[in-house]
Amino acid sequence: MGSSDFYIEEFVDRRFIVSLRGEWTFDNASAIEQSLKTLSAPASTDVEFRCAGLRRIDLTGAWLLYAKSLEMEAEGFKPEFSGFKDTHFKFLHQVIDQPHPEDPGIEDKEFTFLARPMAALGRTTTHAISDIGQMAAMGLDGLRRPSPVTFRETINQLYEVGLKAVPIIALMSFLIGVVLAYQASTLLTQLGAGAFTIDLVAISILREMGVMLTAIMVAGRSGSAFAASLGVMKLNEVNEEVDDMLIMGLPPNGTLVLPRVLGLVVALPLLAALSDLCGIAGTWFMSVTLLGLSSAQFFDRINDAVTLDTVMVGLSKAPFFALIIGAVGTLRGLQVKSSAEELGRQTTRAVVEAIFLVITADAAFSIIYTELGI
Amino acid sequence: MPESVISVRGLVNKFGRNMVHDGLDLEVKQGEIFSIVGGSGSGKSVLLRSILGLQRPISGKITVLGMPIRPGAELPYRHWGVLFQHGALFSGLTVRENVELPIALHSSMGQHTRSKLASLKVQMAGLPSEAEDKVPSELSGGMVKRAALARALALEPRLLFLDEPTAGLDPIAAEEFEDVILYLRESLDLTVVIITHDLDTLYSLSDRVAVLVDGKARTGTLEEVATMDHPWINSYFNGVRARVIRTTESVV
Ligand SMILES: Nc1ncnc2c1ncn2[C@@H]1O[C@H](COP(=O)(O)OP(=O)(O)OP(=O)(O)O)[C@@H](O)[C@H]1O
Ligand SMILES: [Mg+2]
Repeated sequence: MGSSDFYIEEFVDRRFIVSLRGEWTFDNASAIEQSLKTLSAPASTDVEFRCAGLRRIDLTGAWLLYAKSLEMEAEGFKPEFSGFKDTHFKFLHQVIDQPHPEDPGIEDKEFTFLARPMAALGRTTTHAISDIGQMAAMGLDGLRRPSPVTFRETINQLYEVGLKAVPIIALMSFLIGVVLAYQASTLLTQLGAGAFTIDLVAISILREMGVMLTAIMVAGRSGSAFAASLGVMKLNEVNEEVDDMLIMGLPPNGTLVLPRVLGLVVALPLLAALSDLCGIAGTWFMSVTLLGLSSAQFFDRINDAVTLDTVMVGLSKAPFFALIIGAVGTLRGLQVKSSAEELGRQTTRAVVEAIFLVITADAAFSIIYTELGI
Repeated sequence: MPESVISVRGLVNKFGRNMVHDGLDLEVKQGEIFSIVGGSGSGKSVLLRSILGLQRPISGKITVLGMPIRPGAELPYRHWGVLFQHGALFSGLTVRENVELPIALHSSMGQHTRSKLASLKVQMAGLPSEAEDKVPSELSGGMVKRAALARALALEPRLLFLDEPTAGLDPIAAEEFEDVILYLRESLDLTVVIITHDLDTLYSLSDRVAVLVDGKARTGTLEEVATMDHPWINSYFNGVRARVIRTTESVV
């Protein structure tokens, strides 16, 4: 005959009596559970739970006891209870004894080496295709049904993504110009080609660096903002903002997507041009302070090295980068459905994918322009 | 001897020029169901937030379950359950995981027991078991309420706060909900604070009522409060809807 903190077992007149004691509460749940595991009545006896000595019982305690009694019933005993507030069991009975659907068999564990990665590859591919389709659909729908506020919203976005980005992009580009000029002059002077420093730096800034770094900065600033703001609107728990727009006759694509993408397509080339200017300014600053050139000499060199084509090659990429950033950001935002975590994930994806695609596109442009001989 | 579970003394809350509470006093006793009513914007939710230590009042002294509620002080997490007005479930977790979370935080019971106990609470709150594996965005508004109730009940609280528990529930569901509350009070010695606009709930559950008017609380039994002399209280308790409910109550 055993006993524990929670009950005493004894035999009285061939009856197996379990006298409950102590606190059958949530705090003791795991201890009660442990000690109930060792409780088993000898076969073919009557079992009685006496509850008079119980100090306190809460719903968790009652439930543990109820579960034990069900288990004993399944083993063929007929447990009885005495001295017990029966509201607990009546309530539990009412709650628990509704028909339960069985657990559906959890995913089949069949182990196949190839199936899983192949399935993942297939999923990624179909997702990519459906993403592209969705972007196109959003864009076309936005153009076909522009909303009454498209224009105003676009101006808003121009301010948000364009004007507000001016200081950071100007500063960043200036510094890039400074650093490039410094590094290039050190290296080229060692090679005896110091005279080409300005050619090298100006061409790399105008053709590649200016527009690309601007695009990356904008992807980080605005791609994430697009995804986060649209994502929050989509979180239908919070507020059904997108639905609200629909019932007011504001087409979401025309109101949310189009102005953002348009705003970027206009703003990014301008920001890239600004970046070019500031980059050159940084180079100029380095040249007159470190390389000992006069301003006139500097601009002579620039004139020789740079043609309008150089600038246009760089800037012509900007609208495409803007499309990529805008489309990816808005798409990922609108794909948020249920949770705050998903919002975070989609925002990250928006930025990472936008930057990746911008760099990929830049490589493609590089090849195209080289093939065209520009 | 019914001791006081919540005591609020001279509570003052102010947002800019908007004086929400102006020296509010309140006393909730062990084992009672205490309702708080008041017009929209009368400061019910702010009062709740102050009692829970989520809102720092301008002045006033609040004690809950013998613990003073101050910024930075230890709060009685383990002993209270809260159902917020807007549900406030964790959006990334399923209903069962939402209920399991507080249990896991405050108990060492095994994974299996924990999840069974969570299921029990979910069913108690009146949700079908299919709902357990859904995330909040897949639930209806009423189901979110019930899931949040299940979570509020997860830790066997001694004190339960319900902000608008029956808003958004159909009348039958609201009645089931009231049954659950009554059962809990009966068998577990629970103290319940309910904020409600629902006169049915008010009449079928409350032991005592506090009406928030003019930044203060007027407290008493339903009969006492209903006869108080104040324009808002008069129109609230003597409105058509209130009369219908009272006559049906007295017929029954
Ligand atoms: N964070 C806040 N900042 C400024 N004002 C607030 C804030 N929270 C509440 N208020 C103001 O306090 C007052 C009381 O708000 P509260 O949410 O408590 O109302 P309520 O009684 O719960 O109303 P309802 O029945 O509509 O829920 C309102 O006037 C509200 O505008
Ligand atoms: Mg409120």
